Amino acid sequence: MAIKANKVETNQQTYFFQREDGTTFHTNLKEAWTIYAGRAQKLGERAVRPKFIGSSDGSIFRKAVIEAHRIMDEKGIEEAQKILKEAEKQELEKARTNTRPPMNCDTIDRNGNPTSLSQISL
Amino acid sequence: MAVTTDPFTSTDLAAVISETWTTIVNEKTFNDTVLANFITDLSSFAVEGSDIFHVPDLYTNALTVSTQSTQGAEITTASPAQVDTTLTINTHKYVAFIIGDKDLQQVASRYDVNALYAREAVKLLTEALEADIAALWSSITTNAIGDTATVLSDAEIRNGIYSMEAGKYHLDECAFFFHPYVYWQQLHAVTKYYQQYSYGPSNEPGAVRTGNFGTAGYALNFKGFLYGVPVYTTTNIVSGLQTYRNLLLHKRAFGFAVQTKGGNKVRVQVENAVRNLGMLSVVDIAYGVAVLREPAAVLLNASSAFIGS
Repeated sequence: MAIKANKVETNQQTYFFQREDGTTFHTNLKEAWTIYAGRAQKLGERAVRPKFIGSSDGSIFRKAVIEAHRIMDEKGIEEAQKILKEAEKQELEKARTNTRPPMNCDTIDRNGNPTSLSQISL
Repeated sequence: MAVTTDPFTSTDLAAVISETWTTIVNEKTFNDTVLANFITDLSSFAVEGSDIFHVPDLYTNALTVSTQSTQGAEITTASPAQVDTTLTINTHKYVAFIIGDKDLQQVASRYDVNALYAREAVKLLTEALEADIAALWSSITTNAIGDTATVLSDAEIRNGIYSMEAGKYHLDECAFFFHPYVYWQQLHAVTKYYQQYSYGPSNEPGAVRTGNFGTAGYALNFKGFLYGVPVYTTTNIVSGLQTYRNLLLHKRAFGFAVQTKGGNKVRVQVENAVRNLGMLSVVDIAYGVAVLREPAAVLLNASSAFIGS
């Protein structure tokens, strides 16, 4: 399968969590709120909450996608993928410096944005 | 000499040109329900109350086989500890709207606005349940394939199916759930899925696929079979940092229970609210979703930064 560069999405606030086994993952705002509020249940443990690390604005990854697309033609897909993986790590490090929890998404407006501007702590 | 020097314009005739409101209404579009139709539904157990539902786990610690090496010797019995897995109904969502009596009276009779918006509210809440099920992806760690930089490939598809079979899950109880982007832009770029010399005669089910992507139709977002496993698409598949979190699920991997008052999955209530002089509509759903059997799910990551061609 030949692989081509595709779209560069607008960067969005991205939320990072850490599982009990130490691995990390990132989510969008609504999903982050679901996890933060303890509604994602797993294997019977009530309100399992992966540890919230922080959030970043996704701008590093967006720039990396643009760079990966450019590099792809010159050096191939493997090099392009390395750039994205590195950017994900950098987003994680950036998120560690912004530990404000995700906004309460229980009530959203017609555009899908939270109506509460306050950061709610549980 | 021209005699038609001053024809009527539409501006001149504005007072008598009518406008018509058609009976057609452009409504919001929604995904078909695919995840909730497939995974384990515990709702029937929630009818008579309770907030927590137990599903005993006998697989984490299973019975073991012993060998009677000395004839007549006392046997050793096994007593594996059970694991108590539970699902809690912890989410109550609603959509509410009110239309004033005067406005409602003045709305053209051809438009049943309350019914139109109630239907939209029902679908919104159904999608909320679907989205919460799809969001369970972050608990999948045993079988996580690909990352934020990979394009979904045939090798990863086969690796996912292999993981299921290695876990001794029946493949006829599994299904793929892809984001439409991944289905159209990446899976359909895999040549062996569409070139006949790769997948074999069209009149015989081959190893690559039984059924066909093409002939399965699009009802209920069902897209046919891949290696004999049903394929569904939904935009509720979660995305973050340009990565779609596609799923290959055994039906016992995830579970949900709906406990909406009244017995239906979604309840629609409309009342004439005297204190507001209007018609109040409230649509609600109460549910919980949970990962019931984490090894029975495969996470298939796919980056949208790339496209197969």
